Amino acid sequence: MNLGFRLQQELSFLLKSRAMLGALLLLLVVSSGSVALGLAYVSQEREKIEELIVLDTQERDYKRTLAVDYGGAAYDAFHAAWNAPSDLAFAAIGQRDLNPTMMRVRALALEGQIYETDSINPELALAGRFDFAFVSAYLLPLIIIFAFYDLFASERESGRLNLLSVSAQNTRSLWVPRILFRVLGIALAGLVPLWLGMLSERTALGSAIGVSLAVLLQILFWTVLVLLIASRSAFRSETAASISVGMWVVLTLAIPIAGKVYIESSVAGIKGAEVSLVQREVVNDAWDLPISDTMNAFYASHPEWADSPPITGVWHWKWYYAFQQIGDETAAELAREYRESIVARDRLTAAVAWLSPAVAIQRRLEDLAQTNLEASFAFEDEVRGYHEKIRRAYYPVLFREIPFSQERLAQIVIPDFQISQKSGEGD
Amino acid sequence: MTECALRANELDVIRGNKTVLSSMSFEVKKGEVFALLGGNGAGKSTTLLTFMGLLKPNGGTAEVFGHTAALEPAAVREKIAYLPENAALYEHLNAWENLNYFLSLSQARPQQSTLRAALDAVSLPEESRGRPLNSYSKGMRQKVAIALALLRETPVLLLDEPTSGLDPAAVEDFHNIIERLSSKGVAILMVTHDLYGACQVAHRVGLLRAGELVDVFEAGADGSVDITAVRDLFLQQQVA
Repeated sequence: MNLGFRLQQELSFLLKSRAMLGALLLLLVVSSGSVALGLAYVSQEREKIEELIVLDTQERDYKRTLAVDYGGAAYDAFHAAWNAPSDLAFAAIGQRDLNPTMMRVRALALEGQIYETDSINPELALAGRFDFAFVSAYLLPLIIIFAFYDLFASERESGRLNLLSVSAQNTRSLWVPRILFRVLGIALAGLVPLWLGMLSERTALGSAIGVSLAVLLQILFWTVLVLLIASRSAFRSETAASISVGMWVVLTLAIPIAGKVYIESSVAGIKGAEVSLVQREVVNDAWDLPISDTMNAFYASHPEWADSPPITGVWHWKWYYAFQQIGDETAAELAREYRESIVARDRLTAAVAWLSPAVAIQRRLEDLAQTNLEASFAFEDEVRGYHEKIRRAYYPVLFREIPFSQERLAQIVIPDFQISQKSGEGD
Repeated sequence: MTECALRANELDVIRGNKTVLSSMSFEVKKGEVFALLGGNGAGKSTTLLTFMGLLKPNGGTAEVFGHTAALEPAAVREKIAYLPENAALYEHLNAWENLNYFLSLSQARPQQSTLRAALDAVSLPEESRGRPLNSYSKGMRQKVAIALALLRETPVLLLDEPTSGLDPAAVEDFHNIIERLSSKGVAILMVTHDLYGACQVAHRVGLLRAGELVDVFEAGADGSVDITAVRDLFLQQQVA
């Protein structure tokens, strides 16, 4: 047995194939490009977060020096909240493109603040993000098709298959090394840029292994599928190519699109902007209602402030904040429905993933990178909790009608936003 | 008694509705050169494919040193070297690389000097050996394929139109190689259109017509098969 010589010859054979080398180089370039863009994206996000924190604090401190009452101080005090990218977010931007990752919240009605970005994000959703998940889902299978569609047919059509078959001791020794080297080349061209990216991000080992396995599984799936097609002796190379590309169209385009159409038609869609609109309408209507109507409604749901002195004039900050909160509470049911509809769509998308490896790998990478819907909702929940802290910090001085002083204002300390520490370890 | 290297025993091959080989029987002994002569579609290449275990016969057996090709293809292929009609080697590789690649498939690891000797034996010009085969003439490619067959050093050689595309000098060289191998005990089954070449080099010439072996001519005392008798029957057959 001269296995070493056999492998050396097969490697040399691969390296002499210009078409295959070109395909591997293309994959390497595309994969590197996606990783570089992803790294630039997360780096930019982190810089923006740093900048936001500094500027936010500076502005809040400055505005406080100008404050003449607590209500005005709360009105002007924006508090930064952010969802820092995980150590794998560069590979799968996921929901970070669609949902806010940085916000400035204040004690006013929250729903409008949360959903205001819904009016601009469809443009991003339409274009999609060129990230490593995209390369793995859509481009990687095309390279695999190119590598294997004519593996057998090209030998048959050139009249070489009989000579190869007679020369080889068995079929395995002929095809297995050739297939293995191509798979290895594809895996390295696809994964090495990702590994370098993970090294620079100090990605947790668990996530690194998880994402590598997901990509290898994707390579394995497509390799087996294309080889099954290519091994049909009745198929000429162009037939095998057409069927393989047809499978790619079905599995990566047709099924996800059909799934999307089905999901959109079967799950009633509520827009985030509708939640904002309901909340805004309540807030706007409140200006025309008697103050007592608003306050009675507020005290009914927040009895802890019911002993607050009655409002005698035409304006009071506590009335203003009361109708802001009622606006939120009125929109709460719709906001819950909105989230439920998104969750329902996400569940159906997860079902589509069983039929489409492209959807499956994107979702898996987003899960590992914590850029999935769950992570997005977790951030939203953190923001809601933080906003509640801001309200609770100002409500005592507003509803107890504590006389304003800078000293008392200085005692209102709202801690910086803290998101639950991301584990970065995937599952 | 000389050992039988190849034996076709009542071989029947049917492809689709067409009978390609019909009750074909013959033997090739060690050191013997047996040429199968026939027109297009006579079943020449099918016979070779059956002996290589690449085609299962519908009836009968093709045996190589007692191993049935359809049942023991690996054992059979160990003993066979094959020279296809169109030297289908890799165009982007040079002669050395082609030889090394194909030999690695049979787990052989030849020395560079062995490769050189084989290429010298087929008279492939030294300066062309490092160039990719896409710069070769058909005859030069055929020479590399012949060198590959020689390097396998198997006891059986199957040749499919071996002199196709070779110039007269190369044909003469090739015949010399065949005679040398035959004298070393290699059994050679050659299928060809080349009436003159077959009669010159073969110990026996079989005439194939529509899958049937219609006659076999033996070489005379001068070592050649009587070309006139073979030609007459061959031409009759072509007209028929």
